[in-house]
Amino acid sequence: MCLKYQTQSVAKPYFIASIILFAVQISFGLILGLQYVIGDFLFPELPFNIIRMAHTNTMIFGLLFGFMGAAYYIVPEEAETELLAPWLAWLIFGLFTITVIVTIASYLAIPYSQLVELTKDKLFPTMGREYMEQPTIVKLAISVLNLLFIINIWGTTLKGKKTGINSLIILGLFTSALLFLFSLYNPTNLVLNKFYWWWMAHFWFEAVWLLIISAMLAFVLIRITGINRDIVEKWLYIIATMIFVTGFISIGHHYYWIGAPKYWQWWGSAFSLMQPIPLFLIALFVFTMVRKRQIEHPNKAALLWVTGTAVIAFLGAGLWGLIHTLAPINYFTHGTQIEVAYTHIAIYGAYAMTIFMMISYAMPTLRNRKANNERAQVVEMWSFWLLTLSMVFATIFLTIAGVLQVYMQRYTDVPQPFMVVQERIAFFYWLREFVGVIFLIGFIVYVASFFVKQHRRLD
Amino acid sequence: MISMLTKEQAKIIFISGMIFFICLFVALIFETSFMWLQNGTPATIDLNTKLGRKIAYGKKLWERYNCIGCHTLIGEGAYFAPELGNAYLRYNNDLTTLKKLIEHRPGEDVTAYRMMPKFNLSEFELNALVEFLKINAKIYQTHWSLYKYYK
Ligand code: HEM
Ligand SMILES: [Fe+2]
Repeated sequence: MCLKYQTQSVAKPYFIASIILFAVQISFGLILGLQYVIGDFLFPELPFNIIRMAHTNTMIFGLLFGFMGAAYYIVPEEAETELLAPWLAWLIFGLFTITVIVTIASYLAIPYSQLVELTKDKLFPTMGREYMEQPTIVKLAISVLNLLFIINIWGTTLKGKKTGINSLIILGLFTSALLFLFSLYNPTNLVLNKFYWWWMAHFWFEAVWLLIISAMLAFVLIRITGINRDIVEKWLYIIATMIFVTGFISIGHHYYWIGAPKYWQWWGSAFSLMQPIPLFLIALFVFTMVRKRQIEHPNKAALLWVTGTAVIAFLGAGLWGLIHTLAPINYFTHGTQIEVAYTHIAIYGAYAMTIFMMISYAMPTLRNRKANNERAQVVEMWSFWLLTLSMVFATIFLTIAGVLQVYMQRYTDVPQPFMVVQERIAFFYWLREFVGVIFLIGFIVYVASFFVKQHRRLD
Repeated sequence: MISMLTKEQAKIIFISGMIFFICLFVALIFETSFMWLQNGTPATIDLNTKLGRKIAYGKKLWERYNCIGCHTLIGEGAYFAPELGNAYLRYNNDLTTLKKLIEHRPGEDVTAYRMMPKFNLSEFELNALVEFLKINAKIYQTHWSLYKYYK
């Protein structure tokens, strides 16, 4: 048996659901990319906004499944005890899966305005806002399931050993669930609406989820490098400190233009200037631990994901955030393709890749082996490079598109209208779509790696 | 530098750092809220007036048709279709033109580069929507003012 605790096995369906949702998300992404250049593709049956909410919502659900799976795997092993209630984990899994399927299917099946009506949004209006498109009843269901999930893992730590990794991952998951409640708050005044909308969006992506992935990285690093827990957790606390030092007040970078007081331009700029620091520390941490490793773990693919995450998270969430975060620059770049480029490399690097890393480390043990056979690992490493390089190229193409957009539409003396500019930069959208197909191929290779068997030696 | 610390010290730094920055953040949020309490939030609408209720209804429609899924509104949303926080300014403060654009876009007869769905809105709904756009233009104009460059 490769699992330390039997009940860690509930992580498996969560990981599989996360992978399946990722496949769905990529497919929607490719449709969106085509709609960017072929304006009436699937129109009017499936307009852009519908596919877009399917794309972003599958992303959020997929990441949540990934985090939950990671927590079910990590928390018992760290606490050195079985999970409090494995049946509850299965129940939550079933209900969450149904909720997700019904939600995404309803987006595609009926016009959104009809869904608004059908789910009686009038009684308690929360729908129709970016990332928060789910019907109010779905938001409530997710909140309840989140609560049960937190009880389950928190209860596990209470009856077991307390570790730094467990405290931080639970702090992250708990605040993440709490922040989701802001999706239920929808003030009529647009300034207030935007002001509090960001409490979920910013604190999720730029604070508490970073905490979760740092704990995931620390967990895996202890196991594949053999480095002493005290050293790893010390780094983890320092990283977590910098995440919060920079993460709270940098929400000001969303308050520049929406009607909040002017001083947010100073607070937001100053603190988001420091936001690359925690990501730099994560990279430094991962590379230091890997360099000083005491053991050679047979799972080389997991090692590749760990180091890859460190690099791409720093590049994406750190540097690509930095280039457009200062108020005078953001004045020109806000609401352009620069932001699309940034969200893709940041979320892929910091979140999608860490979940791949977690699956890479945990899945073999869930399938009763310490690591996958060598051939499977080679295939998995191929998928790493295909996925990562195509996302890097997509980012480069979108950044070029963004710079051109800013220039032609906003910066020159003879600005051109939005639509004219979009047509003129369409070449780069085609390139993005092309590397998007490579991304899909990378994903197929990734899935294939689960089924690769070792060749019989002939000699 | 990190090697000089122990894990326990790092933990204390984390907890005190977190508490300090939560307090600083909360203080800033209070400051902003007090400013808004005193001077009124920008673009506040009065639900006791007919216009105020109209704007609130306009926002409901905005959400109901998920306009944010294609357009940006003061820079936030999707990047597929033009910014609408400044639409009122771009069309020279002309509500009638805006209404015509929502109902009958140039792309309807010829295939345009990108398409916008047809919503079959009533005159009342159209009026509510453009009033919603009009009040947002006020935020846009005073706080971003990019419209000088931005079509
Ligand atoms: C084949 C790969 C993909 C393609 C072709 C693709 C394409 C797109 C497109 C066209 C949009 C809409 C941009 C707009 O609003 O105008 C979008 C939005 C988005 N996508 Fe993807 N996507 C892909 C993969 C991913 C992945 C892997 C992630 C994250 C793990 C992701 C996260 C997002 C997010 C967060 C948004 C909202 C962007 C924002 O508001 O700035 N996408 N995607
Ligand atoms: Fe942010």
